Amino acid sequence: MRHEEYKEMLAVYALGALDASEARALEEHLATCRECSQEAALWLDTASALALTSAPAEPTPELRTRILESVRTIAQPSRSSRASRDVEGETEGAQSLGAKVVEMRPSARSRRSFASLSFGAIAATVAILSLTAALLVLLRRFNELQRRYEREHTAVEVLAKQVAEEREARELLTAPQSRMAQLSGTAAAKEASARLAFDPQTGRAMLFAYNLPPAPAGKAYQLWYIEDLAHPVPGGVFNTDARGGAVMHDRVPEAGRKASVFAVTLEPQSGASAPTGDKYLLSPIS
Amino acid sequence: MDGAVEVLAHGGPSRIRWALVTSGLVATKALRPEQAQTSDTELLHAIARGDEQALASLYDRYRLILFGLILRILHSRPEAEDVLQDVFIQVWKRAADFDESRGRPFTWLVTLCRSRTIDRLRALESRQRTANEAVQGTEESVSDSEQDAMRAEQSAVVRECLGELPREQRETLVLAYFEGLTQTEIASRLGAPLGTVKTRMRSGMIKLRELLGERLKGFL
Repeated sequence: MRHEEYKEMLAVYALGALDASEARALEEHLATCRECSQEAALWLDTASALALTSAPAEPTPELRTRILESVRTIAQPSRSSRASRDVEGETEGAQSLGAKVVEMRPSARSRRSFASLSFGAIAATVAILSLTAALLVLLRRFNELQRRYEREHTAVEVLAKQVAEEREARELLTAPQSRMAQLSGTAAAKEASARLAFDPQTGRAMLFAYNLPPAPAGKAYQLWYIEDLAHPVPGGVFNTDARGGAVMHDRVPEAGRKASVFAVTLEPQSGASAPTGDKYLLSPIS
Repeated sequence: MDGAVEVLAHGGPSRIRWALVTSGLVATKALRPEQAQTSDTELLHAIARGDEQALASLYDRYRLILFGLILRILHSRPEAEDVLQDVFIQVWKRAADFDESRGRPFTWLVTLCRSRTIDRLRALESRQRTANEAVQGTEESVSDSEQDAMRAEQSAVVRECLGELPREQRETLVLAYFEGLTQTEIASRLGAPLGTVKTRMRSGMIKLRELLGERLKGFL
């Protein structure tokens, strides 16, 4: 493929939308073409601006602590391993697209000095170049394997989490002390319904919701555990999938474990300490 | 960075923002992220030296934008929090790879974040295909967080620019960026020829870059 054809692919590459084989070919070109790698960085700026069109959302405050605790146990990579990644060129991040350019053709000055070298020196240079090339090939292969490992490791982690969630669901649904409650849609969501299973001893809870309308941007649904109608105890916050369904795992606070009424309201995405929005789901009030 | 921009970049109370808007400061300074950018670069250099406080500051500065992006793609808070944690661990490990001569810190961070999120989406999709909500999302009126007034201003400009693209171009950009679909997958999803999709995506990106260049000088 020609330089101009690669250049035309850069905008779509920045969106991450090239097919795998095209992306690989373009990345090989980027490693040797300064013009395209600079142009790619500009297209990535445009693509990254799209991130700003998402509604900002607040993660739970505990996440910050978890992150800072986890990095304390992670030593930063040594400079030598960083350098090896740099030679190979990362596939993730804007920097990958500005991958360092390796000048393959010798300049006029280096050609002159090349001619003046003795045969021995030439042989030594050739040997060093061959070794360097072999090393680069090995590095590339090593990094490919490392990336594949990381991808598969992520998939395994996801599966392990799903299995753990399913085991928890089975235990919760079959435990003799578990209680079930049915929630019906209010006037705000007549088609909606939900089932809540919870274990008053351990506080484990799962809510299975169906046919809820999509929460507006910046909002989410929140579950409430109600023993005293005047003081609902806040539960977990959740969003629905494309079909309006949701499965939420929750841990009922001590104060909510004697609850006999349950409700779901629409709240700010970060959750609320007392209900502020409309009710969407409600269990019968006895 | 001067005091006024510091407040804007790191989220002061909304009344401060409106006071600044009235005084004309926001209009003149809010769209010049290069003033905040210097600090982003410094933070990444400090993180590369193992400064945990710098990582905490970068997290405080970008958690809302990045979490919003991840949540829009994954539609699940627990998954999104897992990914955000992973992103900041990657930032910790890779901060030394960041080279300001080769790109902007914001782009580096967002690209890393989107890439990890799309990886997670694909891993999850092997079990359950999620959401076709991204396209609808662009049509919604998105509420701005007052915590980061400067980014809120930029966000409004980007949404406005995206909104000016013809719908079929905008649709391909959103499907690619927020659903992680390739151009072939988009063609199949829309039932349109691949060549048409390629043209729409490229034209959309060219138009978007042009509009952002006019209205967000300093950002691009």
